Amino acid sequence: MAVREEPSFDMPIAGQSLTAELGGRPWQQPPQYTTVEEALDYYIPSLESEEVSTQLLDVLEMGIPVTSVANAMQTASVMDGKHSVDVGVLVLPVLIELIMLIAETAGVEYISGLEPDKTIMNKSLINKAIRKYEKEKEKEDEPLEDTGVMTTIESLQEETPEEKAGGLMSRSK
Amino acid sequence: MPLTNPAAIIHQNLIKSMEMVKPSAKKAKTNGLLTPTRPVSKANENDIDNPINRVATYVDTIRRKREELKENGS
Repeated sequence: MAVREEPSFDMPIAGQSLTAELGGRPWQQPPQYTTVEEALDYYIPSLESEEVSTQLLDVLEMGIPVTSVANAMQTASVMDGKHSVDVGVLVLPVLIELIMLIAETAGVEYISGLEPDKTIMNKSLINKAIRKYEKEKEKEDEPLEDTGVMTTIESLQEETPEEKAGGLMSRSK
Repeated sequence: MPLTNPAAIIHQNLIKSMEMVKPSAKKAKTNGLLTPTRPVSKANENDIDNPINRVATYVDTIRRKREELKENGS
């Protein structure tokens, strides 16, 4: 189903990111944690805390994939200047596994997000489907033209009632 | 469509590389005259300085914990 895109005005203006002073944003500063271990030392205690873990389990129960949660966590930390993008990418698999471990320990069913996406079709499959559709359409079109004319003629014949012949030589029923 | 969440790809690639690195059957020792006496360096395989390898060990540890949990739970 096609979703009509409404214009959103709750967005930054183009070039707005350049209006702040250079170095004024946290991600423009040197990162707080520079190694994978330091970053994990930051993540693991927060994930183990009761407040965060309950929120995390709620989110997973809502059906949000683990990969999305992990990616959101590391992106937010990059924005906060906690670690660089490189360290974030390195930390991602560990975060995914950790979140899955927490969910399994709590007995929460979750969507990992690691399952192959069946909705994505490759180009060759799409082209094959298009060719098949075109062939079927060609086949349908040819007899349709003939039968279409014939059916209209027949229907017209049925619609027009025979005029009653009132001549002397006309057949009586 | 732009890639917004690389997490799944990163995770799958790491798991694949971990499976490839897993030690296979050990080679039989040869003691011919031309056999190298010094061990060949396995820089890529066991380099602990490489953060990828460290991440792989962490992931492996957590995965083992998860498997243990599944075995105990079921």
